[in-house]
Amino acid sequence: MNEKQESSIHDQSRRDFFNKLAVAAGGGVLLGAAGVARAADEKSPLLTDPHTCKGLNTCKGKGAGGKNDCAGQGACATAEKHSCHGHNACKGQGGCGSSAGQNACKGKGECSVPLGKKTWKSTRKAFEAAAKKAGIKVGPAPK
Amino acid sequence: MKEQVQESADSLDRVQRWMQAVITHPEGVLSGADGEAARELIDAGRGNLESVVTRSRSLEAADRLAIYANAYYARLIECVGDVFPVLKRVLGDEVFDSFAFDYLQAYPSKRYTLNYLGDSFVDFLRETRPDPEEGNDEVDWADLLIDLAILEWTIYEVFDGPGTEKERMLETGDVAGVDPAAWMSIHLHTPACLQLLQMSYPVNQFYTAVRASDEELVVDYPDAVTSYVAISRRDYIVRRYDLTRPQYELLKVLQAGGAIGQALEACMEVVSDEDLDQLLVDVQQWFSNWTSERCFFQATQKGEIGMDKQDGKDF
Repeated sequence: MNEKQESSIHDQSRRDFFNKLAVAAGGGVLLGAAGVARAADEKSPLLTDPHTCKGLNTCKGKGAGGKNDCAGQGACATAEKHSCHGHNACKGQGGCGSSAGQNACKGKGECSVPLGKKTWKSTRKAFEAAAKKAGIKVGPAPK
Repeated sequence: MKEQVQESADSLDRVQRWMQAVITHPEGVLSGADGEAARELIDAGRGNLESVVTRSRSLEAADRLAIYANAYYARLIECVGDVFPVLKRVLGDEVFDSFAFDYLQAYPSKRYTLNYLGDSFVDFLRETRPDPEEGNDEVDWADLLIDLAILEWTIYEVFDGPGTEKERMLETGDVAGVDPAAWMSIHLHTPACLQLLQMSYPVNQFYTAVRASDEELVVDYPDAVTSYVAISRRDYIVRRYDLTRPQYELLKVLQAGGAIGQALEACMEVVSDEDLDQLLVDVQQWFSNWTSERCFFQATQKGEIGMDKQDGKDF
């Protein structure tokens, strides 16, 4: 068998394998689509309501400590941002008159922090401390 | 009368912009009042603040303005923290707030909505990260933090962006008539909410571990290993899936508009010869899972096998 023939057989088996793979992929799509149809038949009316969770905001500020049905699933923690969005006009202003001291104190705390690379230095310290507590060795810090 | 109203409006506008310049100054109200931006509007300076803002019974003008200045940053820092809750927990409140404050100096809030407040945070972390040790091109701890920020921002975007809830996703009837020989040239269209990430660390598992752990518990930092994650949204819940490299390569090509054949080719490039038989089994399961997870909303076919439709053809 010459090189050309060998190459031709190789090409043929490669094509065959590809075809099998593509058919397998297609079979998977068909199986999955059938699963979607079954799931749609069994779906709770609550889940078909477009307001579930996100729209109704039931998962945002509600539930003790923000831990509710959705919290463990990765979506609703990010939803907490809406507590800022929705109320941003009044959030910092409400209560400022009666608790001006507290507010000023909190803000000053934020503002006195070091800038730029110094923050990374303190991060490195926090990282090393946490790693030490967890019994993990960390390499030397970059300069 | 009309001129007086106009003058008042101009004056109000100027005072508002002056106040914004003063209270958003990173070094505080006094520096803000002395700053160029404020002085261009009202040339008061720190010594003349009370010519613009009166004192109250208990507070001087600077103290009154400081309430707004401090609240402004406190609010924004809190918002950044809400977008990156796991990163905040990993870093600790104080360190995270330092980053957030620095970030707000580098990328001040300029949009009417806070939705985009964190959209440059990953860039900021990359720009300010410490230089790697000389001669060391391996990833390090800073990459773990950046990976985590990327993951959390992606989750945030997927949560807020368009999802699959109102889309008609791929159904049996759409693909039931496909000739087995035609699957190679089928294009499976992915929704905008499907995001594929390649990370330096197994950050998706780390994220899950931190979220699932007690607040006080220190979660072990993972070793650096390249990882692949798909993030999508179904029924208004953000879903995260760990992917293998072959799965990632496959989905990447499909997402970019490639046909199943092209995707399989990319996938095969990262599978060893001895694993090819297993791939045949796996591929069917993967496509089944992805379809049932609503990763595809349309199947079309172009050119390759004689169905030359420029815009694709629905089955």
